[in-house]
Order: sequence, then structure tokens, then C-alpha cells
Amino acid sequence: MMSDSLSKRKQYREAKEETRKVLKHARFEDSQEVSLPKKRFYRQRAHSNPFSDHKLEYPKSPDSMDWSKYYPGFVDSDTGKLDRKVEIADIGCGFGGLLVDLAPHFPDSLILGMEIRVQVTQYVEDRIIALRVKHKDTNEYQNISVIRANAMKFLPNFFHKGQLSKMFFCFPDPHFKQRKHKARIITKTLLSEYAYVLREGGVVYTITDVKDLHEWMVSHLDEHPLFERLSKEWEDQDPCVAIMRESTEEGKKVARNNGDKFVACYRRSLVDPKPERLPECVEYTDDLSS
Amino acid sequence: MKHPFQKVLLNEKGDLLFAGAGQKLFVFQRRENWQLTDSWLDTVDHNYALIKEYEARSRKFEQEAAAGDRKPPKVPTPGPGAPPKLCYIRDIHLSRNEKYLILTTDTDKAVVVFELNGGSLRQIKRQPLPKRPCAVSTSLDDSTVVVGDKFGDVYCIDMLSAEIKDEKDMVPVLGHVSMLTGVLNVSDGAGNELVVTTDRDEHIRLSRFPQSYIIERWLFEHEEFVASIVAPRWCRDRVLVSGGGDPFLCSWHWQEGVLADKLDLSAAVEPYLTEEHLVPSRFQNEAGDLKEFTVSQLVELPSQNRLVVLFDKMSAFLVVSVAEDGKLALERTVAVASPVICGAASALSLVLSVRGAENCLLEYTLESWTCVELREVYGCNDVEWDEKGDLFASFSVNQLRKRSEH
Repeated sequence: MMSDSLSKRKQYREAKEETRKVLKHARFEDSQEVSLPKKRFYRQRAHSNPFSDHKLEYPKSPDSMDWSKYYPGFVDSDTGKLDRKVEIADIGCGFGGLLVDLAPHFPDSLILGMEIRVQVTQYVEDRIIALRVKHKDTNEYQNISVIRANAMKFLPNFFHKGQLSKMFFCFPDPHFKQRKHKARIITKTLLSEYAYVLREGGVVYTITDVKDLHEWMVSHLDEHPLFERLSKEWEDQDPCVAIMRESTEEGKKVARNNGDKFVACYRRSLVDPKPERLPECVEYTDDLSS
Repeated sequence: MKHPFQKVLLNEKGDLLFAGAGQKLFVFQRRENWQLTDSWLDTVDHNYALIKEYEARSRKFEQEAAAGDRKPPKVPTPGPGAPPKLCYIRDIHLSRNEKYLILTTDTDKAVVVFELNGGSLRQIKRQPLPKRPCAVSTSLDDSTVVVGDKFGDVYCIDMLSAEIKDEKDMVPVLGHVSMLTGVLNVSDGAGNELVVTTDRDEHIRLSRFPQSYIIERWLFEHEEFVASIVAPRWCRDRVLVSGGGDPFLCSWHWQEGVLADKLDLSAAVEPYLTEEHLVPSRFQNEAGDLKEFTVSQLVELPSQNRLVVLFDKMSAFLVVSVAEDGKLALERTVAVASPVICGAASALSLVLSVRGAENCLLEYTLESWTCVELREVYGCNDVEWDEKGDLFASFSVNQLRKRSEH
């Protein structure tokens, strides 16, 4: 029974792998039948050790990253490169619920999900491919993509200084044990890297159903000199907060179980203590900090 | 057999030599000959961590003893099959003014600061850290020891106050999610101090100091771990040179964040590759002849505007010139009788610690690159090695290479 279901899962994934290979970089001129992937074939244990040396592919530097295959709809036909940069990142995007809901809200911005678990990443890939095919008439979902990555180690390999306007941390692994706290995604030392890739005024969004973790994240963000907490009023009017509360798989699960959801949003400070001498990043799209 | 020196250091003038063998540090002063003037032995128990945990449990047990009739905690003892615990003095570092000597230990994972008086040592403080320290620097004003650990965190320790913090209360000033391999404080020449940190994941990060939460930039070019980074003094705060698991050295105009030059070392090193440089079988090619090499240490020769490049387990070293604009050029290759463990340089000479029962310390003159054996120094080394296993494996930096299959 067990081995039977395992092989079914394997067969399913192999079939999807084939479709993925064909469709990943295509623009879907012909009508192709692609169904939305079934989550049960992609289950993977919820934890991943961020310290281990996974076989990851990551660019040597942000300049050497080829984004064109991730966002084929935004490739400039003259240069073969993207006409804009990724500016919203969902760190630990899980099954991609947030990406899919954010896509229509920010049609002109590129949104990237980063996920460390292989099969979960493949699910999101297949989901995006299916959505793109389904909506090929309207060209929707061209602005979202996903990448398998260890964001705690390699974020600066992907993004330039000040490139991002929003970073989402939705229902991160709580790592309850004291000695695992360094594995948490929000720590004072890692926040310096998030502050580096965020533009001034950019926003860090956090949501969790674990009160301890919420307090931990708040205390680390409060202590960091480059982040300022945004008010409850700000949270209430911000569309992303509403999407984050309602759209992620974890969020829905917590809601079904009538659990609490704790939200904290922080703005990357507007000015560094000293002005930067060497601005490195050109900003491409219109201001999103509504 | 005698334990070789796993770490050596010379002062700028070249009249003081510090050498660590196992858990012992020796200080030599040059008069007519090198003379032993002081030594220091790390006497902390190898099972420091186990003992500390036991003590904490015992305290807790005593406090709660009234509440129940639980058994007292057992004294933890490693079983007979437990691997030997290697405890070394890992790093020997001089403050910029050469008044203080800084060591890191394996036993209690501490930073030990000594005041230097001629050739003698006076211990100022011993600060244990939560994780094993593996990289040391001092702030430009020599008030702070900046130390990076195996967990990727960097701590600041006040160098001169005798106050010791509980390791639980120590807060890192910056952190990577990867083992740190180098920490270096540099000046930008315009009154600003920065701290450079390098890690096992190819990263070179530049942060302001002491506001190290502000990252200025990263230097990207390495494809393997970075093992050694230096800021050659003659390049006037403009240039960094780095090397490690890659077959090349990089030099950087770090203030602009651009690569200044890249020097491939493969051809120069090729004749000196031995069986010890074979890639492990699981990652080997079909012919079984795939070899790899690692830059283990870059040693500045300020009187020459050159660097000495040392390699893991290699019986040779390279001399590379660094121009003021960062251009690198291979000047010469010098063959050594035995594989080099580590080295240090002064304005006068280069001292290398090498493997082997004899010839364990060599001193090279910088112009002719001829060497003499420092027998009088090595004769003073009374640290014996009688454990089983490969002693030299523990000095290898090549093991930092990432080889993951998942």
C-alpha cells in the first residue's frame, strides 16, 4: 500500500518534471493542456536545516543572475534581459499562496518566492506554469516566480543593495529549542542583510501563529537600528497585510483551527547614520510603498 | 614524536617569534640566536564543556533536591571508543601596536589577551565564547578584539579591561550563516573604519565598524571558501587580496567593490601536487587522477611589496607581487623540503613551520630565498604527540570545501 502510493507519487512527479522542462521557459503560443498540480504529490517534511551544505544553485553575484527564464514575459526582446528587477521577495514561500494572491495586485512588479525544500519549490513552479498557461490570454502570473534557495545564506548573491521594496516572512519555522534559535529567519544579525537588500523605506512583513516567535521577531526588529515598527493603523490599511493574513496555506490552516495570527511590519529606516558614498542600485519601477 | 608548531607569528622588527605547539605557546627573542624567553600552557581541561554542563546540572539538582528523590547527575566521562579530543592554540595574533598578544583556545573556546613586555607575557584576560573562535582581528585603535566563530557570529571584546562576561550574555555584533574564516579591520583612508568578514560560503562582506549592522557591500568572485584575506599595507587602504579553495587569488579595489585582478595559480602549483591532493573517492573522476589544492595562508612581506602564498599540504610556496593598484604577478616558486604547515614574516625574514620529525622550523632570507633550520627554536619544543590518527589532518583547511549531494 505504502510502496504503491510512493510509486504513484514518483510517477506523477516524473510526468510533471517533463512538462516543467518543456514549459518553464516557453511563452505558450500554442494551446497546451496543463492542469494545476496536486499538493499531495509534493509533500515534504516541514523543516530544513539552514546550516547544512545543500546542493543549491545560486549565482556568483547578483550581476551574474539570469532572471530571463524566471520571468519570460518581462524579457526585453532587444537585450534578452529583463526590463525590470525583482522587487518583492517572499522568503520561505511554501506552497506559494501568497505569491499567487500578490500577483494581480502588483502586475508591474516582479515577485519572487524563495523556498529551501525541493519538492515544495517544484510544486510552486508547476502551479505557476499551470496558472500562466490558463491565463495566457490575459498574460497574468507572468510576474511571479519561485527559486530553490537558502535565503539565510545567499540572499546577497541574488539581490543588489536596495533592490527590494518588500520582504515577506510568513509563518516561518518557529525552531522552539533554545539552541536552534540561530536557525530562525529573523535574527538581529540577519536583519542587517535584509536591511542591505531593502531600499530605504522598504517594508519587512512578518506573520506567525506562534506567540513566542512573534515576540522574538518583534524584539529583534525593535533592537535593530535600521528598522522602525509600522503602526496598527498602517497595517489595517495596507493591502499586503490583508493578503498575508488570508492567503497563505498556513494562514488558512490557522484560521480553520481558530488560531491567532500575529502580524508585525517594519520599515527600513530612511537614512543611514551616514550618507552612502557609493550608490550601486538603480531603481526601476514606480513607488509601491502605499 | 614532537608536536610541530601549528601556528607561528613574528613581530614587525623580526626580533620576537611566537610559536604554538598543541596547547603550548613559546616566545623566543632574537639576540645572537633565538632564545626562549617565556611560554604559556593552556591548562584548562579538554572536557571543559562536559564539566560545565555537569556543574550546571548539579547546581540545578541541589536546588531541586528537596522537591523529589531523583538521582544526582552522573559525572560525564567519554567512553573508551571516544575519538581523541584535539585542543590547540588556534590563532596567535598581535595587536597593531604590538603591545598585546591574543590567542584563541579550543578547550574553553576562549580569547586570551596578554600584555607583552619584551619577551615575557602577562595575562590580562581570558574570555570564553559560546562557539569555537576561528578568526581574530583588532580594531584600528587597538581597544577591541574582534573575533569570529565557527557559527558565523562576530563578537567584540574589550581588550584591556579585566572584566569577563558570561558567555550567555555575549551578543554578536554581526553574523553570517556560515563558518567564519577571516576577520579584518581596515581603514578607508578617510577616517572610517570597516570590518571585513569572510566565510565558508565564498562571501567577503564589508561592514562599518563599530556600526557593523550597516553592510557596505559584498565582494563576489570566489567560487569556493575564502581561507585568507589581507590588506597589504603598501597599497594604502585601497586593496584587499584573498585566496582559499579556488585555484586563483583575487585582489580587490574594495572601496569601489570591484575586482582589481585575478591570478591563476594552477600552473605554478601543478608540479607540487601529490597523492595528498587527490579528490576523495566519492567525488573522484573515472581515471582517478583529479587533484585539488587550497591556498591556506597569505603572508604579507611589507618590506618587499610582496605576498607569500602558502598551500595546504604542499612542499612549496609562491611569492606574488602586489602593485599599488592591486595588480598581481607571480614572482617565483620556492620548493620546500617538507609540506608547509604555516608561516609568518617580519621585515627581515620568513619563518615556516613544516612537517617532519626534523627540520620543523625554517627561516628564509627574503632576497635570496635560502633557508636555515631553526634548531635552537625547535629544540625548545617539549610538546609530544603520541595520539593515534593523522595529526596533520587537523591543520588542513581543505576540509572546508563543500561537497553536498542533496
